[in-house]
Amino acid sequence: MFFNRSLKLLSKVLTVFFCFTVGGPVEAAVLKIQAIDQQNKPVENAVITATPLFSKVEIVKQTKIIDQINKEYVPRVVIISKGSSVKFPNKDNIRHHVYSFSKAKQFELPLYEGSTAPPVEFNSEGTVTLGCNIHDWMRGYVYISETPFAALTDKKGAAVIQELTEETYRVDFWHPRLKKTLISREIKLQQDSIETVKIRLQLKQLIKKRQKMKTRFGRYSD
Amino acid sequence: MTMQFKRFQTRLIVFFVALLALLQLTVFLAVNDANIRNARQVIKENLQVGSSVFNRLIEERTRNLFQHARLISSDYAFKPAFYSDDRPTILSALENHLQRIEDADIMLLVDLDLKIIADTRSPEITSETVAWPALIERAEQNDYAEATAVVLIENLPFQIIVVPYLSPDINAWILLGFAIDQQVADDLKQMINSEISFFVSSDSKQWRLTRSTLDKDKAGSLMRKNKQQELSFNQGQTFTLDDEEYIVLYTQLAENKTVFAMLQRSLDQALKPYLRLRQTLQILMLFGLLLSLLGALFIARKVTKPVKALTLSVQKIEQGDYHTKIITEQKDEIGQLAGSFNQMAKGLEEKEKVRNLLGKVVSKEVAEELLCRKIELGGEEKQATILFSDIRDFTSLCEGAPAQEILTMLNVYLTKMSAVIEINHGVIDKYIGDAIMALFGVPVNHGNDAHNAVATAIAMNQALQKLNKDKFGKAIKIGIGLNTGRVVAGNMGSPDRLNYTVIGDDVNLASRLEGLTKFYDLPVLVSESTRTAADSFVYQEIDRVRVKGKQNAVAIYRPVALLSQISQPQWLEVEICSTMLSAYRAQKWEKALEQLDQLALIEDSEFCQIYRQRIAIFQVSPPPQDWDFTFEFTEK
Ligand SMILES: [Cu+2]
Repeated sequence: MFFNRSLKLLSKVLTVFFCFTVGGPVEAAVLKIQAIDQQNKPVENAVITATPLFSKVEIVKQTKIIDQINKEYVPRVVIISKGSSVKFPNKDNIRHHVYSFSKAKQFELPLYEGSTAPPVEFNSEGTVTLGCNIHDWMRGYVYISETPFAALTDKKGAAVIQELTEETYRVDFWHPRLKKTLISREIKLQQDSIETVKIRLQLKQLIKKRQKMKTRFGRYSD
Repeated sequence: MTMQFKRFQTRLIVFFVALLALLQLTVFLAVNDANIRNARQVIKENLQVGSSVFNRLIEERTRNLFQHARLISSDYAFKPAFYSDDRPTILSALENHLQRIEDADIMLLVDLDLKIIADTRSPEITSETVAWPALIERAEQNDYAEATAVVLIENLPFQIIVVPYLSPDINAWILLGFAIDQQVADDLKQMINSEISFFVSSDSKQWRLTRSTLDKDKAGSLMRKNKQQELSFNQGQTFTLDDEEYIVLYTQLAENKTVFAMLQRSLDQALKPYLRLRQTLQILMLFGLLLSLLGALFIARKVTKPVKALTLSVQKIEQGDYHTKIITEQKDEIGQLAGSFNQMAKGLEEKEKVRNLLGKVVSKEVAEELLCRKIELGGEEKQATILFSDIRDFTSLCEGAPAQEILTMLNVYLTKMSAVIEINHGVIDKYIGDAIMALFGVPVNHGNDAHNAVATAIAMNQALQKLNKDKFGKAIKIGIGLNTGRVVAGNMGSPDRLNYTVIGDDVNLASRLEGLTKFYDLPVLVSESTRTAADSFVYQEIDRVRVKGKQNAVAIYRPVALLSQISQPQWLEVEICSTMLSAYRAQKWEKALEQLDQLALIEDSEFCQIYRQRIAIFQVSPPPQDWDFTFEFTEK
C-alpha cells in the first residue's frame, strides 16, 4: 500500500537511537522510550510493545473502557491484549455510532446512549481504527497486542515498560499517523538494567478539522 | 440677366445646404466616433467582467465539487462497499454518487499507492497508476489533504479535485472532475453575452482550440488562424474573423498553464443597435437636408421672383412698353423696390407720351433734337435747303365744296406729302394751311441734303399725280420752291412756348420761288445755289429774276431728271432751251423765236409763251443798254 511505496525513503530518514545505560539494583529490566517526530516534538499516544523472541508470555484478558466525552474518544488510544474486550460507554447526552472497518475487527455500535452498548471483543492482533458515523472527526484506536509488555507515550513522548527480563525483544512502534505501518527493532536487554530508547517517528500530517463557521461566513465578514 | 439671378438662387441654396450638410456631417462624425469608441470601451469592460465571471464560475463549480466530495468522503453508506473489495460494486457506488452530483462529469477512486480502484470514465481500468500523481502528492501536502488542478483528458480540459477517502482515516483518494466543455462555454456565453473559445496546451507552447461558442465557420477560421500562428495571445487585442471585427480578452484559469479562455465580442454586433440608430439618423439628416433645400429654394424664389418680374418689366420698358406694373404683396426691401419701379415706369410712360405728342406736333427729328439737347432760345447758323410747297389755286378749289370734304382732302394730301418728305430725310417745319415748309440739313446734316430736297420735290409731284388719279379725281397742281443757303436754325418764341424753325433771306427766297412757279406754270423751281449743291440732277434754266425786296438777281431752274436717268427727248429739250436762252440774251430774237418754235413742237408751255411775249416786246422796243436779262417781280 501507500507505506510500502515510501518504505525505502522512510528507512533512510528514520533513525532510532538506542541508549544503553546500566541502572541501579533493580531485578527486572526496564525499557524507557522517548518518541519524537520529524520536528523533534514529543509524540504522544505512540504505542510501544516489546515481544520476547525466545520465551512465551502468558496473556491475560482484560476489559478496557473507551469513553465518549464531549464528542471525542477518551482515551484516544487503548492497548489491549488479544482476546480482550473494550467497553464504549457514552458520557455525552447525544448518541454516537461507533464503527470500525479495520481488518483486525469490524463492528458497529449503532446509535446508543450511556453504557447500553455491549463490550466488543478483539480476537486478532492489529490495530482497529474507530470512527463515529455521526461525528466525522471522532477518532479512536485500539491496539491489540500479542504481548503484555506495552506502553503508551505520554504528552512528553515518554513511555516505560517495566518487569522485563534479560531477553531479546522485538520492540514495535506504532502511531495512528505513522507513515510506515509498523516499526520494529530487536533489543537485547540485560538483567537489572534500564534501557532508554529514543525514537524518531515520521508522522503524517494531521488533517485539519474544517471549521464550518469560518468557511461559510468568513468570506463575508473579512 | 436671368442667368445671374439663377446663379444667385443657386448660391443661396448651395450656401444653406452646404452649411447644413457640413454641420450634420460634423455632428454625425462626432457621434459616430464617440459611439464606436464607447462600444469598444464597453466591450473591453464587458470582457473583463466576463473573465471574472468565467473564473468565478469555475471556482464556484470547483467549490461545489469539493463540498460534494467531502460528503462522499465520510459517507457511511459507501464504506461497506469500499471494504467489500468488490470492484464492480465500488464502481457502481461511484456512478451512483456521480449521478447525484450535477456538476461532476468523472469520478475516480485511487488507493494510497496511486493505483486506480475505479474510474467512471473507463470501467474496465483497474490497478493502473492514476494519470495525475502530482495532484495527489499536492493533496498529501495540504492541510486538509485536498487539491485541485486542471488536466487534459483527450485534449479536453477538466477541473479535477481530490479529497481523501476517510474510513475513518485516509484509506484512498476520491477524484471528482468536470469538463470545461461546450456546455461551460455555452453557459458562459449566455451569462456574459460574449463568444468564448478554449485553447489547451500540454507544453504551454503549442495551443489548440478545443471548444468554442463560435459557429462552425467562424470556429474553423479561428482554428486556421491559430494554426498559422496568427494569434498573439496578447491582451486587449483586436482581430478580424471572417470580416467581422472582434475585441478579444485572454484569460487563464488561475495559476494554470494548460487552459486559457479567449473571450471575444463582435464590435459589429455591439454596434448593431447603434447602426440602426445611425440609419435613422442618416434618414433624418437627409430629410433635414431636403427640407432646408426646399426652404432655401422657397426663400430664394421669394427674393428672385419679384426680381425676375422686375427684370422682365425693365426689359419691356426697354422695348417701349410702359404699361407694365409689378404686383407684389411683399412689404420688405423688395416690395419697396417694386413700388419704386412702378413709380419709375409711370414717369417714363408720361415722358413717352410727351415725346409722342411732341413727335406729332413737330417733326420726329426736331423732337429728338429738342429732347436730346437742353432746350434754350436762340439758334445757330447752318447750311440748309428750304422747301416750300403750296396747292395752286387752293381758294378757287375750295369754292363750292363742303369744308369737311376739303379738310379730309387736305389731310390726305398733307399726310402723303409729309411721308414723302420724311422718307427723304426732310423735316417738316410747319403747315400753313395747304402750304408746307420743310427743311433739309437741319437740325441734322446728312451731307446730301440739297439732293434730297430736289428728289423730294420731284417725288412729291409724282405722288400727287397718283393721288389725283386715285383719290381726288381732279388735277390738283402744286408749286414747289427750293433754295439752299445759310440759315439761322433754333428755338424761337417765348421760354414757355417755342418753335424750332429757320429764318433768313434764303428762307424767304425759297418762299418767293414757290410763288414764281405759278407764274411760269412749273411744278418746281430751284435757285442757283440749290442747283449747285444738288448737281446730280439735270436742270433747265428758266430765267433770271429779281424778286421783291431783293437787290440781287437770281437764276432759277427747273429740275428735269437725274443725270443718270435722263431721256433723249429731255436732253433735246434742255439743249433747245439753252440755245434759245443764249440767243435771247444775245438779242438774236429771230434765232430765239426759231428755237421757241422747235420747243413748241415738243411742248407749247407757259415758258414759250412768256419768252414769245418778251421777244415781241423787245422787237418793238429793244432792251436798255444795261440789260442784265433779269426779269423783275414787283409782287410777291
Ligand atoms: Cu459520535
